Amino acid sequence: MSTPYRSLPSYTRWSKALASIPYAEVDPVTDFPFRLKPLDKVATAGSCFAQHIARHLSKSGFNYYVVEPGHPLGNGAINEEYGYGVFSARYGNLYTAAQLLQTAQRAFGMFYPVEDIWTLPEGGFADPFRPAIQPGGFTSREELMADREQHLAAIRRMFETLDVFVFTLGLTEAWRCRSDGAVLPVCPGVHGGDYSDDRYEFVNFGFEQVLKDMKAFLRLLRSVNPAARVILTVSPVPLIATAENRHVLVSTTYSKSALRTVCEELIRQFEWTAYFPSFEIISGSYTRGRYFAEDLRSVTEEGVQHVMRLFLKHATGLEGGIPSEVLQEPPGQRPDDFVAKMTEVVNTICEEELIELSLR
Amino acid sequence: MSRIGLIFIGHSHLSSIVSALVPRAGESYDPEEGCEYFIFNTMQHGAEFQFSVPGENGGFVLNPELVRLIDERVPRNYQRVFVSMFGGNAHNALTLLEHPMPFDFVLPEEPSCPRISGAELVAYGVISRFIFNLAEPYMLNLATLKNAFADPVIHIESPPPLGDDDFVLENLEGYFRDQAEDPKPAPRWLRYKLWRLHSARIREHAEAHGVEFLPAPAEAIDEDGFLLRSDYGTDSTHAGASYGLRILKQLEARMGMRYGGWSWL
Repeated sequence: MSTPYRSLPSYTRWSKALASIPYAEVDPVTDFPFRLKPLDKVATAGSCFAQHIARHLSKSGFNYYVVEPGHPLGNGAINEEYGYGVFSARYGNLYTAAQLLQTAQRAFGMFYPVEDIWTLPEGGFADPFRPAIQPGGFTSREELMADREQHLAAIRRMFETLDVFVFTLGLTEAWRCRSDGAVLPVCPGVHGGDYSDDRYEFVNFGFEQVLKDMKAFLRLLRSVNPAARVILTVSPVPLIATAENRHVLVSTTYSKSALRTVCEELIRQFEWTAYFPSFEIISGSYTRGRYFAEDLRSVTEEGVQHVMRLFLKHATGLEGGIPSEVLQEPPGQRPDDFVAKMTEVVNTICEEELIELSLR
Repeated sequence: MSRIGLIFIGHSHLSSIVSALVPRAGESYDPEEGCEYFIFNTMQHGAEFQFSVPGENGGFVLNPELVRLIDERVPRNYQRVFVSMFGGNAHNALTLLEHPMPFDFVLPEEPSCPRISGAELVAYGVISRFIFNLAEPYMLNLATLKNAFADPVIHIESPPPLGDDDFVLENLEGYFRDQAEDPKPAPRWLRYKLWRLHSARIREHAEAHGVEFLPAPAEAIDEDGFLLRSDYGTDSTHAGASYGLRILKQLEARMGMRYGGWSWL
């Protein structure tokens, strides 16, 4: 008896695609609509899991597009501590679609949140939209505002010039300001700010709202960058806590389900978007939990490697090796050589001056 | 008899002190009372002289050779005060020539200080750590000096920056000119901010080690916070004899004593 199932490839059968092959060889990516070229400027944003994608893109020799790399005066370790290079811009984690949309709107002068600045208990100031971005806090309101202005200008530049944007959706739960709906990355009081029911409210975004926010973002992106393409993923990392009065496993399943469904809707409506199944690769039952660490939340490096191996294979066509067109640094004095040279010069002439003086 | 030995130890900023003292060599003074200056002689000891050396029990100590020299040269019946002018140029490494990637930052204590147009804003914390790392070797010397003697130690703030860009450019030493095809000093306000930051970090370190931090003489600073033109030295980083004399006068007033001669240590 013939049915439509007979004509479908073997990857549509659970027994053939998953149950009977080694877990490390599972490849759920059957079709990817476009390929990244080595010189494509690939920008990233999203929840914690997105940091893995950023890190591996960079290591793989692709043009991981960073518009806020940090000044050479902060060496690699210090700049990383200050959030430079963790994502393409220094926005910190963007957990929700609403955050992404509002970040873009703020960058293009379409939204000016009322929530302005938080005071930290130990002194210093925090940006409510990036409360942990500056170790020890900003030293003054002026520093915070100047940094914010520079940051938003960088985001504008990023959206206008990127080739591909990879966004990892993480959460549906968030805290927002009652006054204007500005969505915050963390609950006020956790890292600066003071919580009050009058000023803030909890929200667990429904499917419709997430979809609406993502569509609005995609349209905004295309309006400033008509050739931009977007890759969507869903973070497999479970919620660390839910603000709903129910089991965190139930809340996690809702969040991830809603986000995954939104991605499905988006790729059906916007042909220049693609979905990459990071969520499925990490959390699929075929792994038997191998890709989660002891805390059952953190993704193991083995899991990240599996995701990135398949990402590079399908999104770039690269299987192992580094593309030949690796970007080279422009010739001339490297900025970080400048200080070393100047320090040596200052020390040299200062001692010689003293000797010269001693001769008088 | 009441004499105080003001023992100056340090690096190139000693030049303003020496410039002020040299003309005073012939000045008469009361041999029974006064401040006598003892100035570390870089020519004799060499530019590579190590002020701090590894100690026998780990850590670092003041070079025993220097300790011995001080005990030999400064009369035992003198009250001693050590004056540190260690380092003091870490900020100049960033400002004598404009950085290839111009930068700026916001001073916490003066956030309204002019911003530098077109420069990348860098976090105060990042710059602060950078300056601290550059100044660390000199700050070590301050600590070993304080630990070596029971006498008070004063650290003199680096002189304020020169505000005259033309002067800075014209008096850049050949070494700096050689670093760029078209040498250009960093903007004056960046020079000012870095000097303030550097002083803040040094002050913090000094006070944490029980060393008094003596700010630059207020009368040597113009209304914008730069070194008075009359106090310039002959290069782009050091103050001159007028400035050195202000410091000496300040110390003499503080000690309640007059000038009482000077010699090399």
